Amino acid sequence: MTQSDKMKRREFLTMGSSLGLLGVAAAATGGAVFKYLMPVVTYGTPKKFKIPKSDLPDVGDELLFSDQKVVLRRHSDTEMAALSLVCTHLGCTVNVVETGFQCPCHGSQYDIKGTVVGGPAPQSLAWLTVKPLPGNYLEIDTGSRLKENSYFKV
Amino acid sequence: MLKDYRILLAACVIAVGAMLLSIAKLVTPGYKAHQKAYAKLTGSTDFEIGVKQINVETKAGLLVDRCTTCHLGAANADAAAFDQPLRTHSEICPGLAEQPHDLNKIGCSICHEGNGRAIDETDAHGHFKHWLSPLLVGREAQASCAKCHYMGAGTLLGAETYLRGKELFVEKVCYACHTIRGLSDGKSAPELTDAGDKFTLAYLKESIVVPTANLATSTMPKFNWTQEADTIAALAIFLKGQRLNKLRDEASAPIGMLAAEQTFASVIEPSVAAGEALFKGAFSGHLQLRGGCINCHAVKNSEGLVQGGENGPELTYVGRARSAAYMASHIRNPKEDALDTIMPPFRHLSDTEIDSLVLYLQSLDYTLPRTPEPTAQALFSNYCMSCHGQNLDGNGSIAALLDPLPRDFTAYQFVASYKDRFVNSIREGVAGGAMAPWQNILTEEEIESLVTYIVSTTEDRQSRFVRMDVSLPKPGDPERHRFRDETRTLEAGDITSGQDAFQKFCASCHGMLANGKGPNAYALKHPLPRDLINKKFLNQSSVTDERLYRSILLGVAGTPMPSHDHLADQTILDIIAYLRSISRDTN
Repeated sequence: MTQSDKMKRREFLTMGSSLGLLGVAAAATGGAVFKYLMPVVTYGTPKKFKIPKSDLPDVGDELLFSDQKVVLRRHSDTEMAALSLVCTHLGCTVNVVETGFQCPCHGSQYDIKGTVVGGPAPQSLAWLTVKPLPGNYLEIDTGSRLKENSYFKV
Repeated sequence: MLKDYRILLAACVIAVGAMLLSIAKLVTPGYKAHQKAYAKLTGSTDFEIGVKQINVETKAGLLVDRCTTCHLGAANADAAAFDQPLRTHSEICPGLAEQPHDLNKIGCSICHEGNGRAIDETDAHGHFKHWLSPLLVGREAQASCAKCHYMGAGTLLGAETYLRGKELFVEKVCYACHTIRGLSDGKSAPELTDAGDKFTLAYLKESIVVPTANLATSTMPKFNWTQEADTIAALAIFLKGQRLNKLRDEASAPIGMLAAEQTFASVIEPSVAAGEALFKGAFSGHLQLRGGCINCHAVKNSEGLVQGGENGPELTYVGRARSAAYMASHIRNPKEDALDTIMPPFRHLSDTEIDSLVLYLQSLDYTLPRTPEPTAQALFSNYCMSCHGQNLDGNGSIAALLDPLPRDFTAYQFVASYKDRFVNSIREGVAGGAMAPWQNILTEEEIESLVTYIVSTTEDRQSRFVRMDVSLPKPGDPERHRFRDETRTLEAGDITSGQDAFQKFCASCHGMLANGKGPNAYALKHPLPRDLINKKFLNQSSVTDERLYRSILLGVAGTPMPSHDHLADQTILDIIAYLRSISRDTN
């Protein structure tokens, strides 16, 4: 090999590694831009809302949040649950009745645990995630959908 | 060649490093550390790292508040011992068992302003250029109470500084010039009903302390209480709370909402004590008196102790110098007597209140002790210095806001020309300005010795200046200038040609309106061009046509008024006729 060939190889290696670095940087930038463009906040009613633990209902009682379309149910001293009041048929807010829930729009009927017992609703009402937060707060996530009888420790 | 590749490689590494650093910064935002610290402190294992947002529906639209992204413990009573930004918010209404503000619902920026959408500290606190609502820290947030609580009379728990500011607005006599709807109706200064929306707290503070800082032509006085940080803070917080656009209206405002009506104390029986209280802007019972003269005017008590501001003439002697009717009318409408005064009218004062003030001013009896006989210098220091200045240069402590400015006696040309007038000016005063007649306070000997003192300070130079003696030409006299060797005879002054001549020769300094505020007036030094529509000045007996003629023809010695000997006598007579016509005393 001649001297100039050696230089050419070095040139190739240097160019290759710099371009490689630039490529890594470009990929990272792309990722960062993608993350930057992803929305981190909401403008409607937030999906999660906080309530102080002291606001919880007594055992056996329910507490209605009409704005957030959620009913809180105190199951026992230590357990509680949150049910969504959004009808699984077309999204109306269901009414709390003696036998469970009833949708005023198309007559879907749910029993006390949210299971469909009549009408066009395709599935039972959503049970929601309840998370304790520091400072004696509970956070209810109206975007979640859990199985029936998903109780949470208070 | 090798060297070049190394440079390229190094550049690449640096560029990539910088890029990765900035990406790492984006991926690990500032709040992450706070949230981790908070999770650790509260022992929470499944804390979700991310932007926390509170949406507040307001009349003005959705208020996005992401402050709790860092201020995680604001509503958590257990976080009282944490370091900022995680600490519990202090009690907004101290002493109440249940705090009425749910921070989880209303967020932070509704009271503390700043920039609720931002999640970076500098951005979120609004500490960047031209941001109109930088963070209101601590008690400054009281400026926001009035956004929802409509506060007129009455009090609101937790808004003590704001309410103190409202008291100060009256006590420090701001109300006399500035309008805040429902509270005051002054017309001499910008309205402040919407001050909170227009100005930042820092701007308001700055404008109270140094009024010319933000408006070079401001005639607002510099008050002597601007060193009191608490006073300035309370006033600025009160002003920051003045908004036209509120989040709640009268019907939907929360508790603490009271009628906008503001009630003030009134004086029923005129008395010296009531006058003194008014003068000092004090309280009468739990209601405030709308006075506050002391912010601008100083008085000496019987022992000679001075108290009060330095923005207007000292009023110790005014009760003896001026008549009761003059004082009453001057309080009601100062511009009647002194056209260019910055003193606002106090029309809201009732007859009994005015009478009380007059009685109070007449009760002031301080006179410079006459035994041993005071020196002329002592007389000058006591009676004249606050306006005419320690060095007799017309720049006394209160001179800046007077219009016309006090006479400058260091101009020896002026003293040499007009010293014969001095005795009369002291004795009778000078109408249309602040110079009071002193004949009831000073003895003839004292006036004589004052004049001698004033004249003596420039005596060595007066011989350098000789003023010509000219007399007023009369209609029928031959014209001073001979045009083309034809002798013209003078006619009586013509108002219309006088107006033309005035606009041609005088308006550049005296202004088109003859009010002394011409375009060149601002570049002139002490004294400023005479306001020639000041009727009180032009109609006093000492301002004769001859004096006007001399002042125009020869100029006024020792002042910026130049001689106008290029004007024909006829022109000067026309100008005098014009001046007389615009300043004719209609009474």
